[in-house]
Amino acid sequence: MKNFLATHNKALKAEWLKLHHSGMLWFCLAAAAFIPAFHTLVSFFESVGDLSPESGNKMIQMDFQIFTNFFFPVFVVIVVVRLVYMEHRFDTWKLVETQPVSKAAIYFSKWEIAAFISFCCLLTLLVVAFLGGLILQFGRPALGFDQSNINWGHALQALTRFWIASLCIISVQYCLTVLLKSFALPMSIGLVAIFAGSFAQALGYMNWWPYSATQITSDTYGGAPNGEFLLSHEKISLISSLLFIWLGYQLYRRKSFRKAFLSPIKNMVVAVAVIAVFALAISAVNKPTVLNRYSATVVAGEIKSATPIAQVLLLRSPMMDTVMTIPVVNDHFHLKTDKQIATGIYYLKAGSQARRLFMGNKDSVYVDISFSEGEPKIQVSGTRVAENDYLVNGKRTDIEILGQYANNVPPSNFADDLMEYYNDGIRALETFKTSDRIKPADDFIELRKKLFATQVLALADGVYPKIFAAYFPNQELQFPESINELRAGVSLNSPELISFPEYRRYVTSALREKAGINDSLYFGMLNDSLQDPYTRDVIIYEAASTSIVRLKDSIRRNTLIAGILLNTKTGIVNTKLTEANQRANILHGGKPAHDFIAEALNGKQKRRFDFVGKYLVVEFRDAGCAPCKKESPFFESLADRLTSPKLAFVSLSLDEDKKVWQTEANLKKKTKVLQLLSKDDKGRISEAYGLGISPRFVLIDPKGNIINPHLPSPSEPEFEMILQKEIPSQGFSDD
Amino acid sequence: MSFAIETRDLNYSYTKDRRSVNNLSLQVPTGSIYGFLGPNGAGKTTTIRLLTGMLLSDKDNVFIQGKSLQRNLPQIFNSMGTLIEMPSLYLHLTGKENLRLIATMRGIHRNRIDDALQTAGLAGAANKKTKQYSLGMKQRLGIAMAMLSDPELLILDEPANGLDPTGIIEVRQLLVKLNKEQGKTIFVSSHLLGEVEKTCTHIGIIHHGIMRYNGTLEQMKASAYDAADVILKVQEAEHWLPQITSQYPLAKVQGRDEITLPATSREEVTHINQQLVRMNIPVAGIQLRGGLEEWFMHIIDQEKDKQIL
Ligand SMILES: Nc1ncnc2c1ncn2[C@@H]1O[C@H](COP(=O)(O)OP(=O)(O)O)[C@@H](O)[C@H]1O
Ligand SMILES: [Mg+2]
Repeated sequence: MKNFLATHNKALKAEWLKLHHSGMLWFCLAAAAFIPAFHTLVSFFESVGDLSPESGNKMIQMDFQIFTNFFFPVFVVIVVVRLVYMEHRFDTWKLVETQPVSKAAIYFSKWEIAAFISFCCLLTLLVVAFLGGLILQFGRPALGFDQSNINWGHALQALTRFWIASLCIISVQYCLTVLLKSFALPMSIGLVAIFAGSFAQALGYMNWWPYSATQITSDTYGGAPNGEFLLSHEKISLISSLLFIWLGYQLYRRKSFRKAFLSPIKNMVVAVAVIAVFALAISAVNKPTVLNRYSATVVAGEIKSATPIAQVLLLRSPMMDTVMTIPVVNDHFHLKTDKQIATGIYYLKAGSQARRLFMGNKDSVYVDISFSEGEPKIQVSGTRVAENDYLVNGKRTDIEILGQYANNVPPSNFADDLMEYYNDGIRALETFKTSDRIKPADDFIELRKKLFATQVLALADGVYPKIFAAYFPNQELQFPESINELRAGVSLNSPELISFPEYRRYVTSALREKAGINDSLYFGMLNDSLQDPYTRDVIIYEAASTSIVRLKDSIRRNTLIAGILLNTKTGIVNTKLTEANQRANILHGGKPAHDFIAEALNGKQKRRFDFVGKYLVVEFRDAGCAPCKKESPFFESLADRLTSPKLAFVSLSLDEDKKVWQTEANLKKKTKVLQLLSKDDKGRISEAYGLGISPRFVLIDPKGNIINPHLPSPSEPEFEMILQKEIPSQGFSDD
Repeated sequence: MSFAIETRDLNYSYTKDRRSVNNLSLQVPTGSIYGFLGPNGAGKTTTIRLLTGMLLSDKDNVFIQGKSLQRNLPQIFNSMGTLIEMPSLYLHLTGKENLRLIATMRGIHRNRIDDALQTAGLAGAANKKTKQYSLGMKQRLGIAMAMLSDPELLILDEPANGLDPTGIIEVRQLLVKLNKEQGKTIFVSSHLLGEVEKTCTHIGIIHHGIMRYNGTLEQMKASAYDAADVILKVQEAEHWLPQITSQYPLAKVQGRDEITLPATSREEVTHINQQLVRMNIPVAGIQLRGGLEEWFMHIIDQEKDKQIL
């Protein structure tokens, strides 16, 4: 150690001299500058998006990410191999090793040079990206770089994190090159290791791999949710880096693998001990933590918004009943309560935004909401950070697809597929960690497991009997053992799952399967099978909502709802159900249609009232909605064919951006469909016409009453048939 | 007597089945030029690698200037300059930069570099990349790098390799000068007997990893010429013998046309020739049988026999 310290500077200076004429530094700096320079150039030709104060930060982030995903590790490997091979090539080791400098100093100073080059690379990238932003500020003001503030703290933190990640690649590659003593072999192994790592990462295998270190950091560019400087994989990189420096140094000073680690036995013992210590350190860093509950329930956070927001609401899914109302003071909100709240899904509503949240009793949740121009950003942290991360980023496979392809498989295979889906889901759930290694708590894992079971059971109940009957027409239906086991593990009565749609769907579909199409039997069964009153009412509400939409006959519908309302006790359920039914009554045939207000392309105002005396077919649409684009041509061709002074076709756009509407509407000037832009409050018109998914087609009679609130799509023949049926034929001059 | 280099039963094997250096005990007196002689593959480079810590012996049995090598790495190199096998240079750097590198690691002032270049005859090529150097230039630069810090002990592995005859003579003169004027100890290996004979004060002969001979140049010559004869080709040998014995009492007739007399050195042959001419004896030929080369070959052969047996 004394020798190392005494001679380190000499060795380092010598290494620095060796870089002369090698072109390595320039090669790396050019490589790092290339991406931001190219990005700047391309930006001159880019279409203008939303002006955002994030332009500068985004550019830096993008350049970092592109570079560190692939190019950077490759450059690091090249640099290390070149630095080491420089000595292998003409065996200049014997020159440096017969100088009065310690071998440790020789070994480590070479490592330092590689680390230095790596740092310069990243710094160059950052500087060039920043200069690119400056150039764009003057060259392309429309991109809004003059508005943008660079978050230097974050950029430098990212740089440091990338650098630390690269140290691991340096150390491993250094060790490899010292061991193999050639150029091509360590180079190819390094490159293959980078590719293999990329693939494994893409496929979701391997949480950490030395050659993927910078790539993982790039994937978690945002940093640790808990605000720590380094993410755990960067800590692992740092620790492994130290380990590989040690291993490489042993290889170097003892000249062969055997002498370094195998004989004499003492070396082997030391190596095993050192590796064990590092392995322990890595596993300690890598170990997922489960956050503890808090002493009280806390919902807090901050809001950055141009328009002031007075309060934040915590709504409980699915009824959206308000659980907490939290005032916002100086852009911050904070509420601490001892009130019991059920564990499950909530929505935090602020202004026009709502964020889905998982939380429960004694959780402390912090929500960071930012409405800077562009899309709003909402970040959740606190005791349920892992659970909420899972809900957003957890691995999800579409179970419905299993049902769609189930037709031609034997029932046992279908059951196997279901179980495989279940087991995959459980495995992903149990191994899930946030990027800073926080695991969801056990209660959440238990809930999620049950939900997986309900999903599988719902599909099994729906599909399995049919396949079974097709394969074994003469046998009595029998579910396989695996499905029965699953069923034993989750009860229809699981009030703790009520806020999750999977569970509600499972209950409704299970009972619907038993009850058949008989509604009164179905609702009777729902009422009898579910014990917890709130759970029962919520599920009945959901079931009834579907019936309300489905039942066209208002007398039958009103009877059904009245019957249901006799049994439901939960206030919000009763209110919402009554409202839904009333809406249905208003909308259904014979009721007067809302008198909409709109603007035509020539700027004149038009109202529904203006069309009195004519049959009116209204298309409600949004610009840019794909199904609207598909249906419009059918609608327009129909308007062309069915010409009558007593019939009007109107396309009422609900677009908020007038320009977007104008662009689209101008293209349709020549058609017989009158293009209008709604001037009503969007919420109001949606409610008045019961709008949901666009497009919607409504038929109104000459008196202004709705004939059909829900016409089928114009592309279907039924559309024209209904028009022909409802509108007296003498009204058409069919050509 | 103090030794600049001393080894005690030094052993080294690259592979399990063969020892490349076998129980080698070496003693290089301070102030000597020690010629380490042996044919290719004898183990010279291996020994030098052991002497410089490039290869580590299992035991602590190499001593430089009385100090254990292993326990004094790397400071020991402050008093030791080396050139091992082919000179290893950074070919992407110039000659000057290569020297600067050594100067940096040895903490030597830069102005010594120009002197070194001058001495090595490379002043003109100082700023050329060594990639463009000829083998001889590289060798000279290698020697200059070994001598840059003016160390007490120089260990040079076949420094004459790749040099042209003038170059060889220059190196030889340089070594003698360093030894004579500055009292440096020089350990130099070679596979050429003539080379060693001309410069060295002490000689060691290694073959198949075994030290075959160790002694001063004079001792070596003495033992080499112990068995050597001068052979005179003279018609009617019996007739001329009395005249010759008057000068050389040990002369003997050996067959009809041959007279032999013992030799003590190579130079003596010339002297005998002059004498015989003066005495008007019609000598048809004069030759030396035995001597240094034969002695050397004999030592190596013996060794070969041993190996075969
Ligand atoms: N790196 C090596 N691995 C295995 N054997 C070697 C190695 N270097 C040298 N040898 C063997 O050791 C013996 C001595 O070699 P060396 O010391 O280079 O001889 P010299 O320098 O006298 O010509 C030779 O037989 C050679 O084949
Ligand atoms: Mg050799």
